[in-house]
Amino acid sequence: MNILDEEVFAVIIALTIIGSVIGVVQVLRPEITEPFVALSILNQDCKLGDYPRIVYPGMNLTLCIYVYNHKPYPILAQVRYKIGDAKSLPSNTSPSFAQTIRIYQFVVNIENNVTRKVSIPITITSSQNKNATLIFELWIFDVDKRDWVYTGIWNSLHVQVVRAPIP
Amino acid sequence: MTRARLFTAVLAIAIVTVFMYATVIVGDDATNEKFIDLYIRIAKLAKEGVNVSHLVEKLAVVNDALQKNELTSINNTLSSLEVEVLLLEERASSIVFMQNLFKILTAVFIASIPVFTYLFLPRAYLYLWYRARRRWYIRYEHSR
Repeated sequence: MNILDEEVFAVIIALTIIGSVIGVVQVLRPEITEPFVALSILNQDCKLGDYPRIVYPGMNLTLCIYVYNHKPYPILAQVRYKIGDAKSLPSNTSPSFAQTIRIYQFVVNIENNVTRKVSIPITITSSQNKNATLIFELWIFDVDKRDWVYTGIWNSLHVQVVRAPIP
Repeated sequence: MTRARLFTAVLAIAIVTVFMYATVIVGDDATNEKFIDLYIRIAKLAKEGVNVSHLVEKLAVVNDALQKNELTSINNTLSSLEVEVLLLEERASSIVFMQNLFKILTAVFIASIPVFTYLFLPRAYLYLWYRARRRWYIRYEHSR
C-alpha cells in the first residue's frame, strides 16, 4: 500500500530543493555585491528641496551633508566645497579645478550614513550681482593607495550672489 | 648692557614662540597620521570580515574632534583605540575562521534538508498515518 502519493512526494522534494538552494545562496553570497557611495546636499532642515537661491557675499549658509556608504568596509570621506560657475563644474572622472574652500570629513560605517548640518561660507567678494555654483565633491581615502581619491560623485547648488543689503 | 638684555629677551621669546608653534604643528600632523593609520588598520580588518562597528564609532568621535581641532581631548581615545585595534588584529584570523566555519556549516545544514526530506518524510508520514489510526479496528463483512 502506497500511502504517500508519489507525485505529491516529488512536488515536496522539488520544493525543498528549491528552498535549500535559495537558502545556501543567501548564506554564501557576500553581503554587499554592488559597492557604492552616495552624496546628497539637503536644506537647512536636512530635507530635500527648498534650497536657498539667493546668497550674500560673506554670509554662512546652513545646509546638511548626507554621505552613505555601501562598501564592505568603513569609509573615511571628505566633502570638498568649492565655488565655481558653469565652466568649472566637475565631471564623474575629474574634480573641479576651482579652489577648495572648506573640507568636511566624515567616518561612515558599513551600510550606514552620516547626515551633518554644516556651515557653508560664501567667500565671493564680488560687488555685482552674479550667478555662482556651490560645488560639493565626494572624496574617499583609498586604503591601498594611502591617498585621497575623487569618487566622481558631486552635487551642486546654483545660487545668485547679490550685494548685501545696507541696513 | 641694556641692549644685550633686550636682545637676549627677544631671542628667548622668539625661541619659545618657534618651539611652541613647532610643537603644535608636529602634534597636529602626528595625530592626523595616527588617525589615518588607525583608519587603514580598521578598514583592513573590516575587509577581512571582522566586525569593527564599535571601533568605527570611536573613530568617528575622534574624527569629529579632529575637525573641531580639539587635539588634547582625543589623545586618550586614540591610544585606547590603538590598543583595541591591536587586540582585534591578533584575534582576526581566528575570528574570520570561526565565521567562515559557521557559514559553511549553516550552508551544509540547509543543503542537507532535501536529502533528509527524501529519506525520512515517507517514514514519518507512515508513522503518523498509523498512529492516527491506531484505535481503528477492522470489520469483516461476509458477502454471500
